[in-house]
Amino acid sequence: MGKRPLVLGLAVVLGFGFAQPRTEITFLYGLGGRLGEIIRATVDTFNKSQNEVVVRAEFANSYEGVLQKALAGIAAGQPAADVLQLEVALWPRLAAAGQLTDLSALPGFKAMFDSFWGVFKLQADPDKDGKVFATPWNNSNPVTYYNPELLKRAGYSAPPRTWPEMREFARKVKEATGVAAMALPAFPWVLEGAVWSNGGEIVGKDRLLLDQPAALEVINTWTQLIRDGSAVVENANSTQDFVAGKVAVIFQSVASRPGIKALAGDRFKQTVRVAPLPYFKKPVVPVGGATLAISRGIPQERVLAAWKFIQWLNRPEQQLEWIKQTNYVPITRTTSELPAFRAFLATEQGLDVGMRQLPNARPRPTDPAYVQGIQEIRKTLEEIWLNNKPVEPAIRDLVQRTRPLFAN
Amino acid sequence: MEALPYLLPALLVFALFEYYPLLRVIYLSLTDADLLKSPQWIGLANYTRMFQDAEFLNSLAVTVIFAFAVTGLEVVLGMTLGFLMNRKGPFQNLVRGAIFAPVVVSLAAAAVIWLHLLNPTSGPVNQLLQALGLPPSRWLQDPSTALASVILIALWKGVGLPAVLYLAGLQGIPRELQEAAQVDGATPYQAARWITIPLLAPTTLLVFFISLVGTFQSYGLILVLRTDGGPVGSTMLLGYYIYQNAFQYFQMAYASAVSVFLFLLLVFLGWLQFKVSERRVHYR
Repeated sequence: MGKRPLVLGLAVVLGFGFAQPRTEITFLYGLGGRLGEIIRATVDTFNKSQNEVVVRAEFANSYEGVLQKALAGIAAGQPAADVLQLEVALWPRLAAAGQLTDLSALPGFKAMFDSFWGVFKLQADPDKDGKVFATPWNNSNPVTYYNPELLKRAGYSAPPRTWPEMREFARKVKEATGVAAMALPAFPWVLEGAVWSNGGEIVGKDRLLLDQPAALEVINTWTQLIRDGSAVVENANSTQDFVAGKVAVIFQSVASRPGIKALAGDRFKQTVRVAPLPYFKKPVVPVGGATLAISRGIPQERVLAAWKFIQWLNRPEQQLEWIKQTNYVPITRTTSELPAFRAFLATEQGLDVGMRQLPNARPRPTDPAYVQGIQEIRKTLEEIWLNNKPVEPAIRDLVQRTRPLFAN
Repeated sequence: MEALPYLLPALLVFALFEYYPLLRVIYLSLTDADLLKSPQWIGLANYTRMFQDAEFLNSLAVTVIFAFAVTGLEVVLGMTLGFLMNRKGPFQNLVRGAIFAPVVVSLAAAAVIWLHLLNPTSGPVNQLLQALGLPPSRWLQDPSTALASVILIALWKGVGLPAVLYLAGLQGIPRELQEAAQVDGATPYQAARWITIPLLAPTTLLVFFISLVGTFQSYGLILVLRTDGGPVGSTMLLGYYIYQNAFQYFQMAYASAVSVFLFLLLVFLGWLQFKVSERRVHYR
């Protein structure tokens, strides 16, 4: 009786004395709402799963918010956080300025990189120089959401696979239902896929290439759909309109599915189906979303802790949990091959479309000037669609006025 | 000199958090700063670019229209609602609460409410218009109506504060002046026109100045309404234009130049306003 508490006490004291203190790192993320809740829960799970690293998650309000804080940290000479969630178009500029850690030298990098789908290898290492500053995490591609009840009235069971066929489809749906057949986005994500699928390019060496025939054909096709009244321009209310049966087809991210499901409620199964993105000559889809990067200039101990966190997020079983809740696409082939993942895809119609599109996927353009180029494209498409500007002069003007951006 | 030690803490805080950032922004506006590399001095190039930039000139025009429309309407409606809030009646507290409520609603919640109300396909506003036999509008999605929609939302969100300021102003007017006017046979309109409104001039000056400065600096509304300054740049307020250049396009130096321009514009407008008010505003 006398010795037992003493031994126990000694063990506790020694235990505390020899336990390694956990390395604390910060993780700045930009997704709010339900996705933000999932991120915080994921971080909690990580913190409970091991005793070496503690991640403190900080919400930055948006992807721009992450950049804003990262820039402020750089200006102050003190990184804003150890791990940054950076939108795919934003990390190249930070990397070029030497503000991100090269991940390729970290332990276990090659195995992780090799497990990525080809499109994510290209996204992570666009120059193919072996240096990687950001790894994929929450990535998605656009798909076609359609209302089968509205399509049925026009004699369709699913939307056609190609854009040229979409013209007749749109006319028939509009005639049969009285509602717009589709909402077309001025934000050029879907446009990128359509142009690539027509054999064209969006960005060239020193300018936008939307004045080239392949791109003009896409823009003319879309403009015709809008001008004949069978399509509308996508806006902030388009998802609600789709769920309310006021538009038959929308083109949105695979990760929009949980949001659409929440809006549709009990009627989701009857009123929402998912199909691949239409194409012109061959299927191509753009991949967007955000990546994870480690700030440069932090102590090596925190770099390794941050890397451990990123590796954990990339584990197939963790990816699966993430995908189940968010519907993002798997970034590694290993995850795609998990039987549990296959079983999950079979639970609902269309859950597999994002993954099935991955072999035809391309990373979105990463030219730093394209961030501003996107807003210029958007403005020009709105001028064409909402102010009835003629297509070719408007596009020529767009290419001309954005030249200095790309030349620099 | 004796007061200096007492003022010093406040002056230090001001110097650190107000004057230093201001001077730093002026310095950045004269460089090519993007916060990623050491800034290089480029003189007035950002300012030259600004006045040749169609985007900036459009944004300036949009901001001037927005600021003067919201300010003018806040003065007129704020005063009208102030009169209403000042009237005694069984529902006085309810009326006061209803008028002030939008001020305390968060901007994000206000955006959700208005995005629903102005939804072109299923929004109640268009349904009402159609029920009255009027054509529906695309509101925030139409370049010709988007700015008017934003003005309407800003007015709904902000008019409660001027109304309360006018209420305070009205309650500060001596009752005997109104009574003397009544004895002299003045109609309520005449009493308002010649006594109440002139005596509210200091409040009007305050409302005008607060509203003008606030509206010129607006950007949050555009952010939460998700117009991104569009369609076709029709809601591109200068505040949002600065934000976009600084934090989306990495053009911190150019954004600083626009900020300095906005600062000087507001200083000029403030000066002009006080010059005009010297002749027209009378403090009792």
